[in-house]
Amino acid sequence: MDKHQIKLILQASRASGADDDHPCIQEALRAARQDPELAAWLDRERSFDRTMAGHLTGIEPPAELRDSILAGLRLGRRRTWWKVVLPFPLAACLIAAFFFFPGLHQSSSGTLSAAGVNFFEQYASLAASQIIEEAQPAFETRCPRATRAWLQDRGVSVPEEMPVRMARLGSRGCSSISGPAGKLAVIFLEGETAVQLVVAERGSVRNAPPAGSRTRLQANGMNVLGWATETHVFWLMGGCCPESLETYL
Amino acid sequence: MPKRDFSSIVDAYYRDLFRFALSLARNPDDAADLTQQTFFIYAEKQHTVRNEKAVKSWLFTTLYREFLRNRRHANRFEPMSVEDGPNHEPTESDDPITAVDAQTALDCLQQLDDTFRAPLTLFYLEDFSYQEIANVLDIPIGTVMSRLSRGKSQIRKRLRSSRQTSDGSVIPFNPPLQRHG
Repeated sequence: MDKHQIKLILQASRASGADDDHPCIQEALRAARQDPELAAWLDRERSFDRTMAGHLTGIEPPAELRDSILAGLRLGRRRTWWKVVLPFPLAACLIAAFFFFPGLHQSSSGTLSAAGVNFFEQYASLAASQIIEEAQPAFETRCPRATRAWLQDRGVSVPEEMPVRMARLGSRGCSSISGPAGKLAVIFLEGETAVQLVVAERGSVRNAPPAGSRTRLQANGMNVLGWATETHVFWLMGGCCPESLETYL
Repeated sequence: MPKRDFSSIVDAYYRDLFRFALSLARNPDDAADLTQQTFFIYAEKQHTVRNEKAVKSWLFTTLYREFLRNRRHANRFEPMSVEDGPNHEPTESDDPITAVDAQTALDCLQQLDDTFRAPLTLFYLEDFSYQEIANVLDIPIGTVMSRLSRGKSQIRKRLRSSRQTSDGSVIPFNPPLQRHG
């Protein structure tokens, strides 16, 4: 072991002596003690280390940090993946339920029934708020098979006014986009053709339609059904991308 | 061994975690965030830490990974250039460490690139052996030794430089004794 190696090893040993029983360090220490020059170097080195350690361990964290850590843990836990994922298939299933069952909405007057609004809002807005907080562009999931089978077994045809036919449902991803219309959350649904549910917080959309109103937009191949609640605005879209919706808002 | 409750683990480690975070993030607010985030993650994943003795290492490793992740995403912590000049060996007369106050010493530590700052901080906290530092930072033992050596050399260089800057001249802490006769 040459001097350079001895120094390298001893510089990695703690000044407190906590590592001195390690065979490699014991050997380096023995060698250092036999060489006056190395012994003096080691004294200086350990003095340097002790001083630096004293300076570092003298730092006190902010007085409130401990309480903040404990309080933060009581206030909220990080959401696990399934809690983030769960709303998307739920939202997709509820869209299907919303359109499959006439009791959930009323179409002749162009105004959603209160039950329909609340039923949908309860889950879709939950999905939206989660997407807005945690955009998951690569997210992939599907409706639970049993729920899909149940929906299909009903044999309910999709109303004519729907922009797309959705014999099979499932959410296959979500994303969020920001543009002039504000921040939009997009749930990509799997049907016979591509369709997206676009959700935005009401406050982030300029010229948001009145709560409870319903709009229909068909232009340039775009087929959009929109509605609004007190808190959110929704568009179910086929034949276009969410970005193109912004030009109409 | 009975499992320790969460608050006792916070009490045992939050100070050193904060010190480590401060040396990485270089400001107290980010350091506090990193410390808090580390315990937050621990609260969720503590069931995966089966060995009670591994908790300390797990916490420091997690904090370091969170720091790297935050830096990648937010680019909030500007990297410093590595000034790795010739490895100047200190002599008894010019070792600057005892001549400076704690703040200056810590400032010099924080000015190092985090390549050197992270292992040096763990080393000076005296909680970890060099093997454990290698595990926490996920680097080979030889690299830890090399970085400790070079990091100490850089700190000394900066301490000398800071003393020259503040005083305008170098004043040895221990002037050589005048030999008579």
